[in-house]
Amino acid sequence: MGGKILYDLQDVSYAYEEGRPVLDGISLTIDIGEKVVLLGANGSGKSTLQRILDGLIFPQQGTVRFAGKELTEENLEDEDFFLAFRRRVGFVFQNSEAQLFNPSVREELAFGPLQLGLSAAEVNARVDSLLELFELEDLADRPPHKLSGGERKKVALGAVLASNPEVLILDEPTAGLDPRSQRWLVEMLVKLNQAGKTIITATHDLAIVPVIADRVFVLGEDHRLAGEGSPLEVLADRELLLRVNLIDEAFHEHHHQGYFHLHAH
Amino acid sequence: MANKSLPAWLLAEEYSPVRPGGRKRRPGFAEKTLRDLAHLGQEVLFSEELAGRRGWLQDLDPRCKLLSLLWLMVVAGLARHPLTLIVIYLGVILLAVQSRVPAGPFLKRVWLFVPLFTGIMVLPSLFNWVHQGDPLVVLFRLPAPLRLGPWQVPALLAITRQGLAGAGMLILRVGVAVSLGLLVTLTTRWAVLLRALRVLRVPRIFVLTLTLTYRYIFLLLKLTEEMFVARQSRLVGRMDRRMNYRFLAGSMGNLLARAYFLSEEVYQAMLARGFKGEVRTKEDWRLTLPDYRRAAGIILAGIILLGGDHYLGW
Repeated sequence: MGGKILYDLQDVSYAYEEGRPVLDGISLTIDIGEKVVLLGANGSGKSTLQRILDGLIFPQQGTVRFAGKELTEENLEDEDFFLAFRRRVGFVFQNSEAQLFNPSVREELAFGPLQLGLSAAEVNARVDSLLELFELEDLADRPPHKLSGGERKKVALGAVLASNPEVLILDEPTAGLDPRSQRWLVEMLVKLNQAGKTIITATHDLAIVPVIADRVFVLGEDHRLAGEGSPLEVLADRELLLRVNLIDEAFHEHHHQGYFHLHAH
Repeated sequence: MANKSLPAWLLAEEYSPVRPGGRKRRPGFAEKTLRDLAHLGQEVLFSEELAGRRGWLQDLDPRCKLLSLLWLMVVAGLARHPLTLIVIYLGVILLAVQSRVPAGPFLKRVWLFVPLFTGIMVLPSLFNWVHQGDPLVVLFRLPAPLRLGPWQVPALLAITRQGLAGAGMLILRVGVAVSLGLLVTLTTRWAVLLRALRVLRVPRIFVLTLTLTYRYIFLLLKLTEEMFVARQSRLVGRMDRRMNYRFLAGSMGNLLARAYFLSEEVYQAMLARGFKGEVRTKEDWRLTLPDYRRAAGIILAGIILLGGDHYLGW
């Protein structure tokens, strides 16, 4: 990778309640086309960091730059800035149920393209190609809240992809999915990354990290950046993973022909 | 599996540059709703924190508190002299100060809304057309009553002394009652308050409904917040009115459907954890001497006020 910098965060801090920071002095950069994992235990601030990256909340301290421009509340009040930013960055929430508010899967997928001002034919073509890509054809007219968890996650990802964003932010995308849906999702993310998309995933699922990350940022329980490196470096650093409470003593590692994973027995 | 190739439009790397230069966006209904939700969350947090502080009313047994403040409400309802109400209100303020309830928000919550809502109700009774009395402010005076077809407009329209006094009394009475209610809810944690209601023989079905509502309203609020944040992050173009309506209709339907499942789930989860319709809290509910003293003090004050009110007459 090592390409152009897309996100540049300097000394970012955020607190929902005064005196209780959820993020404390985070500095990091993310390159264009990179796939990055934010790794951390529950409550370490991953989701908050992602909300900052999506310009939904703004740090009380520090700066966030996207493509060289500072992400501030004031800048996002500018209509051109707001729309360009929202088009380039898509967010797949952990709770896909909340993200889906349209009466049918088809309308859910059309929500983004319709706002882009595409013609009806173009919107339909986009929706059809997504239905096919995600194997959702049979569910096209079902209401999203009646779908299974895996199907819902697919629709949520499809709905965000429909406006062709450059960056995908995913919050715990594999949480609550069965192994088959997990694999499908991980493979899709890799494919999207190969197509040039920047993928930023928050997770504590160590098994998927080597597949969906070029680089890993580890958030500690003190809400500071506890470490960063390649997936292999980070996953091999047992002391670091113990310190940030991602593994306990029962975890151990396996190496099979260069493939590496950690698990508990 | 994910071996299908990506469609061409998804591969197009035409990303518009982010730069300011457009007009200022006006925050839409979604952003305003989000702000209100955040504000509500903070208020609830603040109330719980307040109820957990040490203070005169916080330290009082919730049953005693409920009964004695309820008694003051009855006194305020029976009082016929404005002075009585003013004295009760001063007492309420004293209690609030002793219980470390911040004065600003406490006064604002009552006096911003009570005059408005009660005021609208009593507005017609100010005028001599509705309530005869001595004119205080004359709005207009015609030489003779005016006939408009079947209607007759009286010659005089005025605000009467009796009307004004009656309206003032009502607003004051409602203000005192609302302040007392607010004082109970601000200084008692919800679970404790609900249990106190049960101890005071409020029917189980009412308390159960309140309990479920309380558990459930936060889940619903969280759901709504997530939905609005998600919508915010998916705004990639200008939403026209029609799209906004569709979002509103869709989200309402969605919320309703999920609320239905959620209510069942919340109740089942409570059942599964051994809930049998009675609210239990971990507090020790033994009455102590200070409890009796404080409650007796409030009740006695109420009796004296009522006596004084009777003596003052009207």
